[in-house]
Amino acid sequence: MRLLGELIAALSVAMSEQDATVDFEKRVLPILKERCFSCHEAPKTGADGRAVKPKAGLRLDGRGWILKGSDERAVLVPGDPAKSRLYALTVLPADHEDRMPSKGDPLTREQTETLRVWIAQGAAFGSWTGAPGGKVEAPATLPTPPIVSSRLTMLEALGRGVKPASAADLERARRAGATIEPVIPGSPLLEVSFVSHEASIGDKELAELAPLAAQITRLDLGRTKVSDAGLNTVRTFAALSKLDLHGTAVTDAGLAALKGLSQLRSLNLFGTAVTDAGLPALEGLSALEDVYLRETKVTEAGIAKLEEKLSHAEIHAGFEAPTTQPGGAQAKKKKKK
Amino acid sequence: MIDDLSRRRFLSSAAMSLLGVGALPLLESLAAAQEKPGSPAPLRPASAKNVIYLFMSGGMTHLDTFDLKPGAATQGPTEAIKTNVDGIQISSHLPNLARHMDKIAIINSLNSTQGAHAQGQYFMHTSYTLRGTIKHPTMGAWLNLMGGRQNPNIPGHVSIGGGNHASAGFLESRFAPLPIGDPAAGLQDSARASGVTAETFDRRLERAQAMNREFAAAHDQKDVRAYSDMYDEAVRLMNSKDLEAFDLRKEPEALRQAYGTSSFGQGCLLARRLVENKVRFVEVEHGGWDTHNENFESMEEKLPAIDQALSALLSDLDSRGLLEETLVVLATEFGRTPKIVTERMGRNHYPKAFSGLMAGGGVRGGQKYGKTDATGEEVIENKVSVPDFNATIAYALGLPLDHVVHSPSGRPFTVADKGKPVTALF
Repeated sequence: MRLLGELIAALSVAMSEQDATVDFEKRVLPILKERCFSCHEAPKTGADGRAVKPKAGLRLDGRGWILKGSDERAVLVPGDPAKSRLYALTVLPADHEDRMPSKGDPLTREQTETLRVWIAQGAAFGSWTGAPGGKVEAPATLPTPPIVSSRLTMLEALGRGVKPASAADLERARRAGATIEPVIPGSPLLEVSFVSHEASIGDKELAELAPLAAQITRLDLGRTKVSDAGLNTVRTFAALSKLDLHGTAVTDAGLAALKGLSQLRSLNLFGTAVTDAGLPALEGLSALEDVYLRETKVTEAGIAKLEEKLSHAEIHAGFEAPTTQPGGAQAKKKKKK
Repeated sequence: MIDDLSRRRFLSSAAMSLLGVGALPLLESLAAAQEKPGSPAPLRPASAKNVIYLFMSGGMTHLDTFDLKPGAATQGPTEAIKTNVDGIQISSHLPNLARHMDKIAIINSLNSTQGAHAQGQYFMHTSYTLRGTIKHPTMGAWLNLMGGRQNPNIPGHVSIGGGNHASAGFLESRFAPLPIGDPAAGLQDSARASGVTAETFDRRLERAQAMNREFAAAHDQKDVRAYSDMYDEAVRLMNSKDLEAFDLRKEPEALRQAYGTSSFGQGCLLARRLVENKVRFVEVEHGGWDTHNENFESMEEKLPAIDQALSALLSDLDSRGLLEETLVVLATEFGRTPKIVTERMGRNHYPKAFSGLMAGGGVRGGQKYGKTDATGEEVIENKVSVPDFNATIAYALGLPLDHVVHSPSGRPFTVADKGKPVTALF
C-alpha cells in the first residue's frame, strides 16, 4: 500500500514536471515554511527569552540565505539534487541522524519529490527574494589557485616537442622494476624511480630504460646497484633535470657520462665514493642548481673550485650538527647521569 | 602446538601492532568510504612528495617561539635573537634554528576557532570541527588516498610519539597511521616468534588462508576483503626488507646524538629514515606545551631539545637532497595568551592568533607570512585559518582541493574543507 501511495505521489510530481517547471513560491516555499523555518530562519528570541540562532548557521527564509548555505557548506546545487543537501538530507533513512527535518515526521514523498524536481529543473526562485542578505549569486565552485611554480614553467618548456613514450617501452621499463609517472598530468615527460626494489636493480635493469631516453626528466637510482658502466645509459637522456645516485657504487669515472646533460638541475651523489678528481666532469653543467656531496670523499678545496665554476648552484656538502645548549632539559638529564 | 584461537590471536595482534588497526576500528570502518578514489587530476605538479608533520601538542606559545614582541608588556622575560635572515627574529632558546631560517617560512597569522585541546587538535588535523556523528580523515590519510602510497611494502602513514591525532577517519583503515610509541624501540612485534620457522609460519598462514577463502567466497564483500588485506599487509611488512627503515640502530651514533637523545629528537631522525624509504606522511608528536604555569621556565627546558632536533632534521634532509621534496611542518592546536598570568607566570589557551612553520617541499625559506599586532593579540595581516593552513599543505602535495569524497552516510568532504592555500609561501 505504501509503495502504491509513493508511486502515485511520484507520478503526480513527475507529471507536473512534464507539464511545467515547479513554481518555487507556490510549491516549494510552503514546504520550507511548514517544516524548515522553525530552525532555519533569522535569529530570534525564543519563548524563554534566549536568543535562538539558525541551526548550523543555515537560513532558508531568503533567496540569498538559501544560496549561501550553512556555516560549513552550500546546501543547494541547482540542477543536481543528489549534491543538494536541501533535498538529499530529506530522503535519508528515517533513523539516520542527519535526516531532515530532524524533528517530527519525515517529509512526504510528494514533498521530497517536489524539492527534487525543483532543484533538477535548475532551482529557479522566480520573483521571490524573501529576507534580504546572504549570498546573491549562485554558489561558486572553489577557485583554482594560480599556478605559481617556476618548476612548472621549466617542465613545460622541457616537454615541448617531446613525443609520448610508447606503451611497449613503458611496459618494458616497468617489468624491469621501475615506477613510472608523468611529471605533470598530461606531460610526455616522465619521473622514474625504483621503490623498494633497489637491491635488485643494476646496470642491466637501467639499460631497459634506454628507449625512454627522450622522456625521462627525473630519475631516482638511489641505493640501487647501478655502477659507472650503467651511467652510459643515462648519457643520452636529453631531458634529464634531476638525477639521484645517492648510495650507489658510482665513482669519478662514471661522472664523465653526465657531461652532456645540459638540462640537469639536481644531482645527488650523497654517500658515493666520488672524489675531487670527479668534479671537473660537472663543471660544464651550467643548469645545475643543487649538487649533493655529503659523505663523499670530496674535500673543501674541491667544493670551492666547483662553486667557482657553477656560480649559481648550491653545493650541499655537509651536515651541520647543532650545538647542545646548556641549561636545557636534555643537558640537565645528562648531568644527572 | 598452536590451536586455532591462538593463531588467530597472533595474526590479529601482529596486524594490530603492524598496521595500527585492530578488529574494532576495522569493524567500525566496515562500511568504509563509498567513493573509490581513482586518481583525480591535481591542480598543479606537486612540489612536495612527503610530509614530516611535527605536532606541538598542548598549544605552543607564539610569543616565546616564533612571534616575538621585544619591548611589549606581553613579552615577559623571553628574549629575541637574530637569525640568518635579515629582519626575522626568534626566541633566544632557538640559536641553532636561527642558522636555518633561510630554509623556513614562519606563519604568524594562524587563527583557529577552537580553544580546547581535543577540539583544537582535531580541527588542526582534519580542518573540520569535532562532532559526535563522524570522524574525519587527517592529512596523512588524505595523501595516501589521493596521492597513493609510494612504497608498497611499508605503510604510507606513520605516527610517532604516542599521539593519537592522526586517523583515517571515515576512510578505510588501510589509510590509518601505523603508530610507533617509542622511536628508539622501532616497530614492535614485527619479527616471527622465536621457535617459529619461516616454513611453519607459511604453512600456518596458508592453512588460515584456506579457511578464510571459503568464508571470503561465501561473503564476497569489500569489508571481508579489507580484513584479509590487513593480514596480507601485516605479513608483507613482516617479510619486508624495508623494515630496517624503522630501526634507528642503523644510524651512526654521532648522528643520533646530533638530533638529541630526547624522544622528539629520535622521532625526527626516525621520520627522516621513513621518508627516505618513501613513507609519505610521518607525524611526530611532542607534548607538554600546555604552559598555564611557569611558561618561561618551561621554555628554557623545552626549547633546546626542539632547537636541536629541528635544526638537525633540516640540515640532514637538506644535505641528503630530501628537503627538495619533503615538506616539514610544525603545527600546534592554538597559541597562548599574550597576557601573562602573573601569579603563576603562565599563559592560557589562545586560538585567536598563533604561529606555525613550513620548510622544504617547494616552500620558499627565509620569509614571514602574516602579522599580529604589537602585543601579539590580534592578527592584523594575512590571516590564515586552520583550513587555509591545511590547504597549503595539500597544495604543496598537489592534492586536488575540490575533490569530493563521501562518507559512508553519503556526506561530502574535501581535503582542507575549502581552505585557500597560501600560495605566497611557494
